[in-house]
Amino acid sequence: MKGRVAVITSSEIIRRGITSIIKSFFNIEVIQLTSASGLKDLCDENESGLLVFSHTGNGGTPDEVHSLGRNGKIRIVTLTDRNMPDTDSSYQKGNLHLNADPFEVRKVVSDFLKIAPANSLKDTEGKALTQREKDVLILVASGLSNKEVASRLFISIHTVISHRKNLTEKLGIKSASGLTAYAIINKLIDPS
Amino acid sequence: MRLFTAEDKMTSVIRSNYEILPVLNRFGIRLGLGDVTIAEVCDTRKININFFLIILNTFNHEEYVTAEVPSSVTPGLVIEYLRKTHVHYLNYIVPRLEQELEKMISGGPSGSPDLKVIDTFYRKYKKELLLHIGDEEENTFPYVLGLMAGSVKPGEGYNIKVFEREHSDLDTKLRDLRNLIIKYLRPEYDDNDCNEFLISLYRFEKDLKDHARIEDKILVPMVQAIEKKIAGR
Repeated sequence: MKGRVAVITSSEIIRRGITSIIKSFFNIEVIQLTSASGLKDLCDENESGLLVFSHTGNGGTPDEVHSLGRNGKIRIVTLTDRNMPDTDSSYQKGNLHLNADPFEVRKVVSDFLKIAPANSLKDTEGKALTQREKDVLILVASGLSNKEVASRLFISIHTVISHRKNLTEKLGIKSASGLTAYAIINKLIDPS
Repeated sequence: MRLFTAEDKMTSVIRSNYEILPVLNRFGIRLGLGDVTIAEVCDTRKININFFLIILNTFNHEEYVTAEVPSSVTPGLVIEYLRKTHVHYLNYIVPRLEQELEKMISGGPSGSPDLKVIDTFYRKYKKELLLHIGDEEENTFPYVLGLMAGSVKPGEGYNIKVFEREHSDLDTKLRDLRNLIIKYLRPEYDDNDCNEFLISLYRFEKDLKDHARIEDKILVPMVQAIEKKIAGR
């Protein structure tokens, strides 16, 4: 995760609407704020950057939000219902039109977070296992603990955990007993 | 799906999500409801309406957590409902899952090692589930009720904090089971048998998640508040 997303507007309809659109594409938490106060704390505790969708009744973004934007850690997207010059995009120069297509919202968020939307997040799923991952899989499936696997393969326990994480992502199976079942079905280990 | 209020008709509750039927049964509500509203049915059946609405809305909305649980909703009420859920799992859902799995396996080639793997996995899961339910019935619930009655002190022999951890593990295994079937198991079974088993698994997964939400988001905070209050005396 390279950053967080917040929505600031006193309008519950807009707030929940944007949040729900973002959540339909990304598996992330969206911070909902009714006003810009509280935003500063959010920036201070957040090292990795913040994307803020902001909307006030009259279309502008409050100065206090803009001044926070100048320190570079936060990017502001002002939600507006004002007409924008004719282009294909409803997003330009930090302004997003309220009539924008949900996919525009998706693009803004994925450009900022530099991550793909959740439905393609599982890109790793189905990818072939590396030899090392197979080694770990077979040992875990045979009933060894992470620690035992580590000493057997002369690697650190952190490396084992990282291989386990990749296995879960690639196979869609997380528990040790699930990996055992997978290994038997795929004839990687003997059922006995 | 919208949130329900006291004035809504019971029929609209069911029409909006028929998966909620067993939840109604856990409150002793049965069909043949006519046009009664939620308020009316609660009145006749002496059901705490605040609690009933919380349960309905939590079931339909994963995100739904009431801002403030009304004081009439006691841990005792929550536990009574959770116990009924356990009974439903033990007496109906688990045996049914088992029957469906047996049917699926017996429809495949006899002695298929792969189907046996699925069977073994399920049995292991079931054992863990029963242990978890037993632990709640024998340790968690008596601790909370004892706390309420003043016969147990906070942290005495038990701590509500240990309670939350186990859910995710049970969750993971159910998900693994269905992924094994969907992705890796060779289809040596009757399709209809497998579909029935899988659909039951999905349903159970959803019900269990709801169960865990009620425990983690309603019961645990309630108990923590009580523990704190007693400790502050």
